[in-house]
Amino acid sequence: MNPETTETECVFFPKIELQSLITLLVGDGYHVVGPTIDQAAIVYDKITSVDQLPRGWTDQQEAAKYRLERRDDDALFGFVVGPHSWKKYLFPPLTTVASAQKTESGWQMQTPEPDTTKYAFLGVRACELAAIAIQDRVFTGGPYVDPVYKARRSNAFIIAVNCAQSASTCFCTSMNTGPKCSSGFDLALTELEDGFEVESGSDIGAAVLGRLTTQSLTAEHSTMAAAARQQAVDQQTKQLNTEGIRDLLLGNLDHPRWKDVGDICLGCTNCTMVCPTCFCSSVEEVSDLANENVERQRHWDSCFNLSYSSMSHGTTRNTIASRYRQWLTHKLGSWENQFGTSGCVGCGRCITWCPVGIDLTEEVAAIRGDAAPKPPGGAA
Amino acid sequence: MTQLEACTRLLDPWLAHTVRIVDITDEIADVATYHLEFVDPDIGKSFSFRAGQFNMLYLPGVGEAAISISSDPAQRGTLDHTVRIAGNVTGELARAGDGATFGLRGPFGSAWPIEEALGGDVVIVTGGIGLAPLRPAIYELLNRKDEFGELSLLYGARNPFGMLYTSEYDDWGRRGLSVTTTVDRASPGWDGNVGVVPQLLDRMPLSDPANTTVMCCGPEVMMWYTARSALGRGIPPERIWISLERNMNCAIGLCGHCQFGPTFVCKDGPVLRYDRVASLLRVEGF
Amino acid sequence: MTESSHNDRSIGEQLATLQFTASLPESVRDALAEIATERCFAAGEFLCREGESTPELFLIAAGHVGLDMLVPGRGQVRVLTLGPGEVLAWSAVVGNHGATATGVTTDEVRAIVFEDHVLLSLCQTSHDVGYVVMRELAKAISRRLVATRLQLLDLFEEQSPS
Ligand SMILES: Cc1cc2nc3c(=O)[nH]c(=O)nc-3n(C[C@H](O)[C@H](O)[C@H](O)COP(=O)(O)OP(=O)(O)OC[C@H]3O[C@@H](n4cnc5c(N)ncnc54)[C@H](O)[C@@H]3O)c2cc1C
Ligand code: SF4
Ligand code: SF4
Repeated sequence: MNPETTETECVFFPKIELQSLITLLVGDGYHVVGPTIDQAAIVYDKITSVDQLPRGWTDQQEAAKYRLERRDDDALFGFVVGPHSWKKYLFPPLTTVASAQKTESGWQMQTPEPDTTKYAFLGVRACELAAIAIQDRVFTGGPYVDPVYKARRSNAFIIAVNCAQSASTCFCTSMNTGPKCSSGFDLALTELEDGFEVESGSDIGAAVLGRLTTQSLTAEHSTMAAAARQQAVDQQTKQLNTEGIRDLLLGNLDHPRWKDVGDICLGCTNCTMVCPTCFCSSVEEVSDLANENVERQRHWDSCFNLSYSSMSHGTTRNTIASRYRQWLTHKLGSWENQFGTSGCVGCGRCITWCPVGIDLTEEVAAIRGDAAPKPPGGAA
Repeated sequence: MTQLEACTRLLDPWLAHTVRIVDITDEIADVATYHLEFVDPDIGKSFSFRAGQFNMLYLPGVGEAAISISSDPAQRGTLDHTVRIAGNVTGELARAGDGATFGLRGPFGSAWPIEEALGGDVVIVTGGIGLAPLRPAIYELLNRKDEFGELSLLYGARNPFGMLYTSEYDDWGRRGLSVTTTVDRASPGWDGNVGVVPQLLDRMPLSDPANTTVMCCGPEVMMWYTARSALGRGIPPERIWISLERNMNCAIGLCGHCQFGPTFVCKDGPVLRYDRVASLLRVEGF
Repeated sequence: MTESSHNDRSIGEQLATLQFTASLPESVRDALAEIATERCFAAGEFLCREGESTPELFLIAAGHVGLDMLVPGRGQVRVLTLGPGEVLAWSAVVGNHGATATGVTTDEVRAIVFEDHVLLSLCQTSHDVGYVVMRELAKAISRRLVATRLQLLDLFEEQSPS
């Protein structure tokens, strides 16, 4: 599903048709997941109705700040990205990868049946499509394929939504991942005042679209949709200079900036939890009281945790500075060697959700020696 | 289950196979070799590995540990693992007796450069428990003795009680491996070498350094200085191989723990060419 | 031992292959060969004794020499074993007061031996020779120092029983 998109004809459907799309997908057995408001943030959760979408809300974001605000219109997708990402569904925070039972003839090990849950993701942004493509490489592109990810991923139906605005934390244009959705979706929407411009990106997407009541796209709609997408480009202020970034970072492992950032980083792991590409995990044993039935549960872990690199004779990365350096050099550097792509899509989540406002683009600029770097977290 | 399903399930990298302890050899204090067989004989027959690879030994309810295979790759039937008690999993394993069952996933990781070493001399430099992952290479080199030049083992231990497999050295010697040992600290009665293992490399005669392959496993500092000695002796950097150790959780490159810069120690390593990782080896906390 | 089969080689030839002298200019090696003698020792012979003066510098050509230090309550403790290409009893050359360890052969040893005052006066009269010899000596001492540091780090502590 969602192969590289070829240019297709766009159509239009009125706002009311979005409910039909959700209903149709639910009828096809999909769990539809989309943006909704919970605890003062826009998060991703199961939805069955457009009324659960954050109609008329937007998000204000900057380093260490996130705030929902009323819009002066009824836009359903008038915000950027929140603390959740789709990895929550494709790479679940907690999942059972194997189990063991004690039998008369000794221990027997099993792995779970492939998960057949079908998810339809509504409201996937361009940077998030890029993040999914990156995790595809991580979990399915190497010699070992993660069965949990693969099962969920191959069943997923992806409805992308083009951004019509950028937050001050967004830098997808620097990472060449957005703001326009160009591939990796089944359907892509651009929200207009009275409806959506829709493009299908796969046969399944086209088939679903064919079952909705659509209209042909007027030139006016087309112009408005292009203008909306251009607005996201124009609003984007943050930049990351990616030129030679891998060698820059891996060639500066002893740069004093690592210590500076290590001094203020709390090692809280927020940045890695919200990042849509971070994939670190650990497996733990969960057994019944008699230790005869054991589940091997995989949970998200983080390179910011001390135990993450510990061995019986010592811990490899025993300072926060070394762990921050590991994160950034991996994300923007060695990721390229490992997966042929940067590990960052420019979504800005790690900047927003860092409690002390550390901004990776500032860190890179400081290491690059750009004029008058700000102190770490200086934007907070 | 359809056959296809059964097939795919077998390939599930998370699936451990049941193994049984056939025999246990006590090696030195806190170290024992576990001779294992697969409970399903078909898996036993299809299981093969290359010298230097490791398995994840899984003790249900306790966890997994990465343990190198220490037996001859040509040996069929049982699979040996030489394990030092280091914590939870290895401690629990030490409490298991003959007949106990547990899980095994593998084999994982890269192998010693046996093919690359063909036709030349091989110097194995190791210390302590580091001999375990090299024993399969020793067996293979000796099985194929005619295909190599001179074979040497330089082996260091903390003290004379820390040496593995001492009962095999004579046999190895007879079959063409020159064995030299040394200890960091002598104890009364020890009349062998005293000093660290890179010194043995400093002074061993090398007839053709340019065609000599070094296979080294031990603490990182020891491997670093061994490589320095090897380079000082004219052995080319691309012929020096080391085996790295990092926290390991999944062994299949999916959990992120074992990263060493661009390298996943579990799937790109543990055996790595020295010149490919040298620049990162002495970076503190990397 | 195989090494004693090299016995028929001249001192100059041996100096050309031994680590301590191999990288020296040929002219220097020739000058050194002039003043050196070759001696053989059976296992268990003392080449120098801790605290005593060391009139000779030994360059081991074959065999091994243990370096022992006397530790009250523990007796002679072997701290290092030296082998082919390594020097011992450098105390005289570098001006220490007496040997800092006892050197005892652990097997048959063949050594190239330099009387210290002869070696020193060669170095004194030809500073070209003196410079390279002292530099080799510094390198040897530095190798010994690094090895001692590694020993100090007790790298296998976590790895093996005490
Ligand atoms: C490629 C490889 C090959 C190895 N081969 C051998 C061998 O042949 N024999 C042997 O005795 N030991 C070997 N080790 C070391 C062995 O894996 C650890 O001693 C073992 O994981 C300790 O587990 P534990 O549960 O007993 O200790 P704990 O300290 O309780 O370990 C808890 C967890 O920490 C991690 N961990 C702790 N120490 C290490 C370590 N040294 N390396 C990697 N992860 C660690 C593991 O995830 C482990 O599950 C090898 C390690 C690696 C990476
Ligand atoms: S590193 Fe930060 S900006 Fe980049 S993808 Fe992750 S969360 Fe987004
Ligand atoms: S960079 Fe910020 S979010 Fe990430 S661990 Fe440090 S304090 Fe937490």
